[in-house]
Amino acid sequence: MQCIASFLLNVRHLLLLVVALWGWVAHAGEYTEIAQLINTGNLTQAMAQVDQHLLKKPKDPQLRFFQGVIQRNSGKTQEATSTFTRLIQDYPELPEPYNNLAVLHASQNQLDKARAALEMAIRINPGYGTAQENLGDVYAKLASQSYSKALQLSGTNSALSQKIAVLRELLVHGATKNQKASSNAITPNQTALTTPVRPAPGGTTSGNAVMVLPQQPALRGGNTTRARPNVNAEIQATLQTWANAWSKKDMTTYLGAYADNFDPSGVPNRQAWENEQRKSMQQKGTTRVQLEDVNITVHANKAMVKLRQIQETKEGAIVTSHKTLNLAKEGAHWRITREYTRG
Amino acid sequence: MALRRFRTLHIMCVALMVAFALPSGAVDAERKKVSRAATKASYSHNTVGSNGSADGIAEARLIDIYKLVGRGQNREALFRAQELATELPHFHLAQLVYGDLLAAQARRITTVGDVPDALMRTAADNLQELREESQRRMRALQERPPAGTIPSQFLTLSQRSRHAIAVDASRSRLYLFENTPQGLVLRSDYYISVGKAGIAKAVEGDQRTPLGVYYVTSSLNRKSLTDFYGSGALPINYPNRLDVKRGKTGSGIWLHGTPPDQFSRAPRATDGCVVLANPDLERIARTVEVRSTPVVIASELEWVKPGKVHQEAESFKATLYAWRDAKNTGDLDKVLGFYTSDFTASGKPLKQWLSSNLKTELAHTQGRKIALKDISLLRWTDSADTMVVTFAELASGHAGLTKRQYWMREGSQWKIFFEGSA
Repeated sequence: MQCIASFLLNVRHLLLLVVALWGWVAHAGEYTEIAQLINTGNLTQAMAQVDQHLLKKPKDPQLRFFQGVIQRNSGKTQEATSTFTRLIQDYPELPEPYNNLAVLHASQNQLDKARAALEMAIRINPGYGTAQENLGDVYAKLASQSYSKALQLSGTNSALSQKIAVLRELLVHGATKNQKASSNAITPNQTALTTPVRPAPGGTTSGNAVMVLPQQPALRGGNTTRARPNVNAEIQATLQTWANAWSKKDMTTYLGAYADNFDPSGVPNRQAWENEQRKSMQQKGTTRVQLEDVNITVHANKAMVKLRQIQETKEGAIVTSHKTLNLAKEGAHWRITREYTRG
Repeated sequence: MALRRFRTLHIMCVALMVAFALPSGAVDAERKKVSRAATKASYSHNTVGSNGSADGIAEARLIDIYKLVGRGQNREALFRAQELATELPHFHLAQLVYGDLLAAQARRITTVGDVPDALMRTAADNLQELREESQRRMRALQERPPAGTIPSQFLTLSQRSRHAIAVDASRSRLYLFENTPQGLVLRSDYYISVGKAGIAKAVEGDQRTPLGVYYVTSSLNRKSLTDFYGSGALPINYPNRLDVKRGKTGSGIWLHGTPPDQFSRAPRATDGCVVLANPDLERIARTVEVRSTPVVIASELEWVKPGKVHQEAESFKATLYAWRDAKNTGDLDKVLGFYTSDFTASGKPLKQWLSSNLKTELAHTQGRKIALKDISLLRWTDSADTMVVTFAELASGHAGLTKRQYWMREGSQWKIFFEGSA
């Protein structure tokens, strides 16, 4: 029952996507035909067109994205997986290939891999609705598996043997209203556009199904945005102040690093969170906090930072955690809006 | 985004209990965990058991996860739950908690084991048992024995007993003590399962765990046992002499481990045995000595300062010494006064047993006075007041005999209703 409902939901999403796509492609006609062919199941023709276009633009991520979708829809799971994987390697800042890779993993019941890929997509774009919904489905399915183990339910339980409902796949890796299909395609060497052209920060929901990409040039490994070195330095300085305040148990400065709209997940309100932080800082014998492998991604006045946090305690223990911090610029200062540990 | 609303995990009773009531020093030093780094360091303190997890560690990790949830650190809790469930896939409670934390990423959770109905089907009992296990574990860690107290049954324990065990059925907990020269010291405690039908065993097959003062009689190697018993078994002497006097039947009550597909069992799950997770059983089996380790099993333990029972112990010893003195006089009638009228041993009536017994002993001691050493007194009070007394009876120059006597209080007088070697 649940399965049919979510399948229908998926179809509805897909249709919404297609409809929105028509709207988009009014501006960028080049890939309309390909999208149409894919939608109507004319995969061989679609692939032929893609191959043709690829001759002219061999690195175009949208074309490669189409390739992966076509391969998947043709049942060529291995090829599709490798297409998306290579796309991810070349364009690690694009969230959509992660989403579609997750769809492939899920279809093969590799739920932990699907989960990892979706979490990556969301880390790149926290407002990424489709990936969030897909991740919710994956979590629900993973939960079922754990529950089944906990309750010692046999493998013949139909809930277990059912494959996860098809996750929402993306057709288009996204573009903005004013773009021509190829001219603003994301390439590694392009310098930043001066005006962000996205309709709204933080991505879009499925109502406007065109997924929006960050407009900065591709970011790799530890490199930060070439076009805005000062922002990077600002953020680094902010985090260093925060870490120092923590080491010295300077609560005022430490708490001051957090934005007013900081999301204290799990705690009912800001005051309760602050009390928790105070208590925690007093109780724990942390003597030093160091930050390493700081990896900053900036979008307009928002940033996402992944780093390794190393705490030394007075008992001599060393605690290492991988943290992700979201920051936002408020006036002249960067402040932390979200903080969580992964691994 | 819609999803973020559902990230809050509300394990109502657990989270509240944990966040506000669980003292940081809840478990013994070996199991204090502050961080994963510290966790790794302290793993090495214990020899790794057969399930890749040292005694008590699995529970400590589970409690850490609860604490993280209580502090709102759900991502960290999720990660740790994944680690635990992956390492011990047969630790069903950990799987349940992991399932909850996964589900919490997508929807609101309102209870421990928030399993969708469709999935549960016939497993409602299993779910209920897991919730009970969770509650019992939590409660035992919250309600700690006050520092420096011991179970009230241990009036005095000689150094011949290097360890002692006490089981609190109401808390599903087993407490392991070391008997140091300064007295009993609690070394560790573990979650246990008792009989399906509960406690107060009376007859064979009643699926109840007996209550009383027992001793470990042997240690069975895992190789001589089926998988069902896990890492090994420590049989105890049910029925003891008080049980026999009361006409209780049944046998084969052991402390033992769990089968390979189940890390720990429900609070009431066994045929009467006391069951522990394998790493915990292994620790106990490696530590305690056979024959000299008492095992007190009570429906609920009462914890007292050793000083409180010291007076009782001294007062009883006076009675014991009076018995010794009577024996030393060789006066049969005088000695007779210390025994109950319904005393039977080896099928002989009291007077007969005593006279032949006494005669044999006197022949051995050849008129030398006997002395009592290494006295242990364990008091058991239910519908009657009884004392299990163990001591070495020596005459100078002769190797002593270890005796065990069962005394019962009749009115204001203590009398022996069973006597034999231990």
